[in-house]
Amino acid sequence: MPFAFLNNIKKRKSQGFTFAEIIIASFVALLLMGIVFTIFFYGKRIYDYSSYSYSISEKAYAPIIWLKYELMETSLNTIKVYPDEKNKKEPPGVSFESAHNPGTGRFEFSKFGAPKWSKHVFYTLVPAGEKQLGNHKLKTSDLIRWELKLQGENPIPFSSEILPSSEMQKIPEANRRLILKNVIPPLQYLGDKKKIDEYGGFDVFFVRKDTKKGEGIESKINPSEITDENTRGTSGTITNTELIKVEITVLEFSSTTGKPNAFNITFMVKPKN
Amino acid sequence: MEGDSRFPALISHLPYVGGASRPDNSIAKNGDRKLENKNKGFTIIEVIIAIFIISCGLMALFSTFSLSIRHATQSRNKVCVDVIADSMLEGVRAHRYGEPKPPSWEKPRMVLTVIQGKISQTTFHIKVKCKNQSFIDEKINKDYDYVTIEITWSEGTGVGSRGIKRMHSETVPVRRGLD
Repeated sequence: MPFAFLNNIKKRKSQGFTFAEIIIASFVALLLMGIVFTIFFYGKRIYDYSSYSYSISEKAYAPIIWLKYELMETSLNTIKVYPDEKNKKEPPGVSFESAHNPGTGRFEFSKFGAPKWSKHVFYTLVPAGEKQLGNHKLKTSDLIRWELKLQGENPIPFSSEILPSSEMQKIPEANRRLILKNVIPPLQYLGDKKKIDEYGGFDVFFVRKDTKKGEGIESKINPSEITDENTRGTSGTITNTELIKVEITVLEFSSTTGKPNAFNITFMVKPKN
Repeated sequence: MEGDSRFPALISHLPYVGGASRPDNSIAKNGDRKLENKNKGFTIIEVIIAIFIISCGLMALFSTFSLSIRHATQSRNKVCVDVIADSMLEGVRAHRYGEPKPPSWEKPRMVLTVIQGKISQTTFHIKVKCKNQSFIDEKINKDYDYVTIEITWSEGTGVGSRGIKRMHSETVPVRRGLD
């Protein structure tokens, strides 16, 4: 009979699975699921790692560009770093004079070739309250850029006498620009009391130099304000340089695992004017 | 029929797996080859080849993941190198022509990164070379020089990238009297 094998198939169908077959099938299914889930979770972990690795350096890069070009265009004598010896309670930040016209996108000069200093630019760390970042609740601050317009156009550059803490509140929200989010304020502790200020912050220094050792020394005092009084205790071999050192640390917490991601970088700028 | 037509001599001596039985010669004699193949199961060679192909696929997949980490790290390092190279150029601009080279120029720069709680530190080694040395030696009486900044670092993350050294180099002309 040519189609006799069909009877065998029908017979086999009505038989069901044996216990051994079910065990083997379950084992194979579990094995396959294990492989698939391993690939999925491993892939997810790698994706998170790669994306945070990209995003954290990108986040730090934006304020670097802003600060680098603005500090390059300013005059060294106009730069003020906060907090300093006189103003210890000021929020961390920096201020300097600018002749940049945002309307034209140009650095403005007078007909005699001198820069038209028209405003003071401030970068200030502003407390942003307590935030739940991942599994951690901590105080954060935002790096804000704001400006103070000067009366007329000043041919001679000068540093700002206005303190950010007193004036910033008067600046409307629309005139403040958020440069960097989730910057950790100084002396911030994590939930487990682990000090993490080395992972967060915004710091600006003037670079001085020990001519004997050739080492760079960080100072908060503008070279134009160096007097015998505020250099007391240092040897006579220390001189000024025209360099400004900026340290930026970006911190964020992974949305899925709550683990911290941080990136710390330091760069130097020499103001041109 | 004896064995598989593709490997006639070899296959006929191999055991069958997956609960399959040897082909029934009587069915083969009837000429129903399709039915014969259905009952046969896989030979050990076929299973080994299949496992090998699946392993190759999985390895390719995992190496893609590792490649992704490596590229992310390389991209981050490139950002760091750009920032460090720019800083060094600023340092060269601030240097007075003929003054000795400050040791701080060649001090290694550390960049701290924490990704998913894992702390890693990449060290960037810097070398500053001057073509005729007049930029860093006042005894050499020349009014121009070429300063080359070489930054080397090692890519520390990702399979196969351990120990790979990278270098970024930039050369700038400098002239006396422009500082």
